[in-house]
This record gives sequence, structure tokens and C-alpha cells, in this order.
Amino acid sequence: MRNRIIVMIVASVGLTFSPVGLAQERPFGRGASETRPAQELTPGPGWKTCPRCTNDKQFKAAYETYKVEGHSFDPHDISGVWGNNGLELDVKNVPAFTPMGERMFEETRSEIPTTNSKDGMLICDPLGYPRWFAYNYGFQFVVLPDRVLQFFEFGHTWRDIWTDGRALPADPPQQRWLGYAVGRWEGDTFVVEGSGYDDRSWISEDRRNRIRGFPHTDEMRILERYRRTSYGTLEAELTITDPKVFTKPWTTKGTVQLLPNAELWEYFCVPSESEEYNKRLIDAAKRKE
Amino acid sequence: MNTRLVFAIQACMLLSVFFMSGNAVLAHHSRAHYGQEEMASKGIVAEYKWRNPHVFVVWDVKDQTGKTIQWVGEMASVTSMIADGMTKDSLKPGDEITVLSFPSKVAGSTEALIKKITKADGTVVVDNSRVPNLRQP
Repeated sequence: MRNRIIVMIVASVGLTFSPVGLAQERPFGRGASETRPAQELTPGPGWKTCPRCTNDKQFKAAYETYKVEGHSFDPHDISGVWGNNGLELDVKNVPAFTPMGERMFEETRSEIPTTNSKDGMLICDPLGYPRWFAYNYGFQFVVLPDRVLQFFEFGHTWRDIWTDGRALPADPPQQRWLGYAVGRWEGDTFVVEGSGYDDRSWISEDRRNRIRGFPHTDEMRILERYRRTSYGTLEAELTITDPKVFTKPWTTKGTVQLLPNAELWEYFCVPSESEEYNKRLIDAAKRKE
Repeated sequence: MNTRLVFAIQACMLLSVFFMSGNAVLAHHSRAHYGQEEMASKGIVAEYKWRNPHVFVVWDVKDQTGKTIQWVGEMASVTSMIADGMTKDSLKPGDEITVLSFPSKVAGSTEALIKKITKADGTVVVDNSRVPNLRQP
């Protein structure tokens, strides 16, 4: 009996810190609100809820309804609505900056001590890549014969990951917020390589201290690896390389969960809405600091 | 079963839930300008903005002298608030509400981060009392 109890304790703690445990709960990390309903809110019969609208009660119920556990799957089909927390970058393992990177990082520091005043998101600038993926509103893969489309609810936009054999452009005519991306299969892993990113975007806000953001140059390259390990789980690994900013590559690994009960709604960053919010809440805080 | 072992199991389960529920950041924007002190205020809804980036409520509170002070309190995005049980119809101008919130650190500020809203009839509109990182930046 004692051994069984010890196993239960170890299993409980292990689950907490294991990728599986985090994967199941992390997308719903808003925490246990006292008012989260068991019933999903949808636009009507036949419509589904949105990724971020799902709380953990609804997520667990959906997994039973859609029989996700043990469901058959094709590892080369990664289509579906995934996660509502993106894949937050591993800010505990940010590589050391180069001197230039350090200067660029400091330049992102807010003019005021508490709010991220230089963040382009405040004025609805595109988040760019990988910030759109790292951000937390869910995404959808759609697999086509010549490309994989990745749709993002936040910004209601998409990128093309070309799988028709083309190479990344050596000298693209235009840097893009979402860059250029090509993909291929290595066994059961979908490998995506990207370059040509517009350097006006941040890699991510710095979630250790949100008055700064992680910068990049137009030399940034991103290598992504996705592997569907079950019907409901997608392993993801993202490696950012920018030798002008970081002294070594920055890798984030994690898992993203399928949301069988969700479809992408729209989340546009609307300048007039953001302006009103900034004026009434952010700017008010600025004036008084 | 040994009582201490039962307690240990329960403690581990609770710890698991705690750590598993606190792993994500929930806001677009820094919340560092809000203080740690909670404020309870009773007032009348003047505006309910079911909008992004963050849903916010404007409510009028009468101070001891009878003067009306207008507060503005934010929550999270529309979709995050749907997960917490709110809808576009949760509040309307004229509703009497009690708001538990974290006001800005700046003295005299009338901006706040909302934790809980209760209507006059006792209906809890939203309650994030158990969200561990509610006011983290």
C-alpha cells in the first residue's frame, strides 16, 4: 500500500511538470476562474466556439465528446485547430545578446517604467513571425497539395508554407512581417524553414518584464519542427537564429493541443478600438507616472 | 490509510492544480501599473465596452461628499472573457454593480484592473478571484 501511495504522489508531481501535464493545462492557463461556464458559447447551432473562448471544463468535455483519446490519426496530416496559447517562447533560456543585440534590446525599452509603450501591438502593427505563433489565440493548419496554410485567429491572417519544392529566396524583393517559408517532411516530422522577416516586428514581448521586446534583424532565420504524436497532440520545436542579435540559436520546445470543439473566429486589431483603449487606460497611466 | 499519507497526496494534487493553472500570461498589455491593494466600490454602470484589446467597464461611484467619481476598469480580451462566462449582454448602462479591483498605483488614479463584478441582485458577472497571475505584468 505504502509503495502504491508513493507512486501516486510521484505520478501527481510528475504530471504537473511533464510536457503532457503542461500541454493539457497550459493552453487554458487563464486559471480557474470562478465563473467559467461548462456550456460553450457559440454563434448558434452548428457553429463552434473559438479557441480562446474555451475554458478547461469545456476542453475536457470536448475531448470526451470527440473521442480524442486513442483516436486514429495520420501523422502526415497536421490539419486542425490547435491551441489557444500558441507556443510561448522559452524566455528562461534566452541566449546571450551580441553587443548589437543588447543595444537593440535596450532600444525596445518603454519610455515609462510600467507599460510596454514601444510595442507596435498597441497601435495594431502586425505582430509578425514568430510572434503571431507565440501569441495566444489559436491557429489552424490546412494541408493542401502544394502548401500548408497556417491561419491565426489573432490578426485573422495566415502564412503559406510552400511544400512544392521551391527554395527560400536568397534576396527577396521585400521583407515580410511573416517572412517566407518552405516545408518538407522528414519521416513524420514536418520541417519548416523561414527567412526574409521584416525587422520592424519583435520576436516576442519579453514576458519576464513586459516593458521590453526581443528584437531581430532581417537576417533572422527560423527552423520549425512539428510532429503529431497523437490525434490530439502536436509537438512543436522552434529555433530562432539571428547571429547579429543572439550569440547562439534560441530554441523553444513544447506541445500544442487539438481543439476539436473550436473554429477560428476573428480577432482583428482594430486601430479605433485600440486608440480608445490606449487613451482611456494606457495613456491615463502614462500621464500620472 | 495513514492520515499523513492521505494529506501528502492531497497536498500534491493541490500543488499540481496550482502550478498547472498558472502557466500562461493572460493579457496583451503590461499590468505592472496596477497596485496590489484591492478596492471594493459600488456604483452604476455608465459604459460597458465589449471590445478588444481588453473589455472595459466605466462605472460612477459617489464619494462621501456626494460627488460622482468615474472609474474605468479593464479585464482581458473578448474571447478570454467569454471563457470566464461573460457575454456582450452581461452588463448594461444603469446596472448597479459592486466591483472588486486593483486600482493603478498612482494616487488619485481612477483606472483599475477588475477582479470581480457582482450585480445588485447578487449575480456574479465575473470572478477571477482564483486566477493566480491576474495582476502580473
